[in-house]
Amino acid sequence: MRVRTRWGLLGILILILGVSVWATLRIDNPLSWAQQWALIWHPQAAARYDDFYYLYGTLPRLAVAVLGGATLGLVGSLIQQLTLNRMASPLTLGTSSGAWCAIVVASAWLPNLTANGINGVAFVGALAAFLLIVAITGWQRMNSLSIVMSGMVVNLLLGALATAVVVMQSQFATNIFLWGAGDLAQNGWQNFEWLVIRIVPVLLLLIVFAPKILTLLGLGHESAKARGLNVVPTFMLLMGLGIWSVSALITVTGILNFTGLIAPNIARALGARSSRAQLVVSAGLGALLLVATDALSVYASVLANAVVPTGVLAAAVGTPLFLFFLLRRENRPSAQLWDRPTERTQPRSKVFWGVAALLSFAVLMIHLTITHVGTDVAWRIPDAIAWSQRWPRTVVAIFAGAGFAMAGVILQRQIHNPLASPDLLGVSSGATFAVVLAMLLGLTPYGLSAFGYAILGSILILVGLLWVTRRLQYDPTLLILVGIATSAFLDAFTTLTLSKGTLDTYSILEWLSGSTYRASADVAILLALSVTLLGVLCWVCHRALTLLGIGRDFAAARGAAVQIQTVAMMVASASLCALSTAAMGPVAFLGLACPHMAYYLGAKRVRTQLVVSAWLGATLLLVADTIGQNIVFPQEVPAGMLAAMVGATYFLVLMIQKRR
Amino acid sequence: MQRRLFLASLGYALTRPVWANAPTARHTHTPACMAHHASFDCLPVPRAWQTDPIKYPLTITDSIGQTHRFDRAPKRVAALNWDLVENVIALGVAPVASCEIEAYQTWVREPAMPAGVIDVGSRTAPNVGLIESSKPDVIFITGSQRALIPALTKIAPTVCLENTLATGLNEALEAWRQFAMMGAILSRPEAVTALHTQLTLRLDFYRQKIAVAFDHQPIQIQVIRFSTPTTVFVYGPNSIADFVVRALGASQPYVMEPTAYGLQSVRIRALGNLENAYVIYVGHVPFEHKVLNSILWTATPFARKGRVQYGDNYWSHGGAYSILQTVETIGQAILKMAPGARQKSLVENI
Repeated sequence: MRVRTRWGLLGILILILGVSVWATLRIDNPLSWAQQWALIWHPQAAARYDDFYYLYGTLPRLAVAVLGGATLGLVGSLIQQLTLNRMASPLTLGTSSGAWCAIVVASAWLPNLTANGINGVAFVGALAAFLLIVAITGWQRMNSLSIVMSGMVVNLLLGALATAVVVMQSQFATNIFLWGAGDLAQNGWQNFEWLVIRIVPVLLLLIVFAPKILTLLGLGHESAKARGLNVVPTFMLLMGLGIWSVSALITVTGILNFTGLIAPNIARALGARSSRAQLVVSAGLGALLLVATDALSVYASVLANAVVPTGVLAAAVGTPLFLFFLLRRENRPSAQLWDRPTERTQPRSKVFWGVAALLSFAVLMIHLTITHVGTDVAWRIPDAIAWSQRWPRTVVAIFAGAGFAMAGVILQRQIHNPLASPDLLGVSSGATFAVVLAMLLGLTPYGLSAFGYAILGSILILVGLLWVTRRLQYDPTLLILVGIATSAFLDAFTTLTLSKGTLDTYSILEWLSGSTYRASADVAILLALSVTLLGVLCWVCHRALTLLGIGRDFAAARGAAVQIQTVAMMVASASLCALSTAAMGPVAFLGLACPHMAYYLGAKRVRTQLVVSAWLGATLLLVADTIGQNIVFPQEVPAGMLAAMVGATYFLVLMIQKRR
Repeated sequence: MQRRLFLASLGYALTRPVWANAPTARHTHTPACMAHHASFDCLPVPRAWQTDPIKYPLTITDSIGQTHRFDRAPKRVAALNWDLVENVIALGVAPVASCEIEAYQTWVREPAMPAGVIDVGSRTAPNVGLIESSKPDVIFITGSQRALIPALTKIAPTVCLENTLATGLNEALEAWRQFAMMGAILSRPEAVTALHTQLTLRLDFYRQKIAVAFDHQPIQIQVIRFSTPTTVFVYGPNSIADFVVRALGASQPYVMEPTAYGLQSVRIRALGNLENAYVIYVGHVPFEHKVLNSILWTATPFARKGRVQYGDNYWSHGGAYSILQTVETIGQAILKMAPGARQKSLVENI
């Protein structure tokens, strides 16, 4: 970056700092500057409530914002230097969601957990999530986008698990969502003191001792080993210290995303070169960013006359900044050829397929006829009323499963990455957000209208995605990253809505966990027709898909109109995912796992992979729906949740096995 | 041009007032007759629901505008939300099907759910097959279950009664109206009259006791629930709690618009200028001690004067019987805060 622009950037940052501090101390605060000054020096003179609030509400909030921002910035820089990956952060490496999931699970069964208990649980959860991601990606590929992708996969899994727990134990959920949305409000200084003891020594330790190690590691793991550094233990130690700090912060404030991702990038843009400079400048910038975001959220709370958590605004402000950095030249991801699995798979015999078809048919019949008589399970031909209830759910399960699976096939071939999942495109979040917004505005979306809103939300997100990446030839990998950012942004708003804590919350939660309960006849028919249509279209265009799946340059050299075809395929994939999400809510992992399973069953070509994936997706979702409807009768476990957990487990086992 | 627009909107945003003054009083959608004294007689129920015995055929219109005609009193009743099943039980009818019975017995508790009621699943996703197998003659559902109407109508007449989501309604009066309607449908007008008498008696009892205890001065009562260590739920002008407070001759000082469910989440700070309020917090939460001992709570005017009292938990979104429980909770809590109450014990006279 040129020197003049660097000074300009610095000037803007100082201005933002000034305005933020002024705003924090001025907004919603009737005290004059003189009064504030007097109170700081003589706190025992506090008389009115506003004096107390200033001393024990506003100032601790500012202090926590500074400390928290510095922590996030420094740990973000640490992670980025350790993994040599500019897009790594507590968000993208899954540590935030690991801590969140662990806390939700622990709180559901142990509601009286102390702060120290929660901190321990958060730390264990974050560490476990990180280790999982390392296990999936592998040591060698930590500087690539795969780790970001694995991070998001783990995010999805843990998010599904956390949602599952909340759905099961719904009544405790209300206060956990406000905290989960990232809230910096304070009631006294005890939280700040608690944080200082746990974080400041670690941060100082890192600033003093880490830079030498980080500089060595910056040469690459092999070179560092050659120079005598014991790579793995030092890496894990530094990472552990970073995760410890973030977990302690999450215990107090909840999830605050994006600060740890953006601050180091700005630090680099400002010209910080050496390891220590990057750490310190990132810390300072992180503090600044969080103070600014917090001031903004206080202002928003006053304007809206409601409680606006900081985390929502952090996501709202952070997403455009993240996109800005992502789209800069040095961060642009390079095209990677698809790593084809090298094991030979035996083509399956006809007997195998015959048995498989028979089993699927059996599952279908069970789904249609299973009933409960008293406490026993029976199989009856359903009467007219029961039939009108069942068949839409069966149809939706089959075609949504097929839709997700086919979307996954198309996407994975497009971006040459077997870890891609169609929900990463942001269309699931867009659909969810549209439905949640409709519920908020009192539009009461049911049946076909919910379907309509969801499709509308997905279309808007898709159009936005395409518009953002148009100058970069619609690079699919970039689309994924933009989709990830958009999902984080929309999820923040959804979490905010969930914190209202009413019966609507449970309806939204039910929608979020992916259930066929709301399937109506018209939605079912619409879904069946559109998924079939899109499936047939993709079948017809299999040649384009094969060529693009090998490589974009390869396809261009053979005369394919790469840009148009990329857009068309992306739209097809997103539409399949959007339709399925609109019909039954977001279902993670089907689009990720089914193409793999199909491949390992011998379906290597595009056409067969499409068909087999669709069949696998449909069957899996049908099985999940059958189990979900009957296992805790008359309550229901949402099918999407079960399918996601099965798919995720299968996938993780597969990935870890491949490492060996 | 774009830059000018941006600067203009920024300027507009910055000129909005940025500090929270006491909120100005706003229209609260309360019937004029309730301005001074809350009462169930304020919103009269139709005469057809008040005759004893009920004259059939009876035609009623439910909350979403559907009309239903009943030629005789239904015997087997399914009620798919807690406020509706509460009304059914309070009318003396044993329901055949309801939702989340175990949770009802934890959260609502009274009136007690009789044995033998079929649990048809969760309130957000009741099982239609089970509802059918319980063979009801009438099904009462709530607004958010509206999507089930086409399926349920094939089983039995489905009456949709919504209370909590519509902000234009006063929850207490609407709960009472729905109770009277259900009493008419199920031919139990005597139960309606009995509950009306009981409510009026208890309200009068507490109103007089409070007037005496507080020396006939008008008092301010604020009813809240704890939400997180920095936020609380306040009960708004359309909530049952607010209705009861006004019926007892007091008023809630925190001014807000009517909201769905009658609750709003606010920071503790927002209660900081309630100088003369007596605060009742309903229900226990795990972090209660932390909040009650925190500096932002103890610095509030009411905490400093010791005007904080716990109120027994009741179901905030219930039917007519819940109004009675609310009266007991709030009435007793107010009396415990009366001047001199901690020395004498007024409680034993209740």
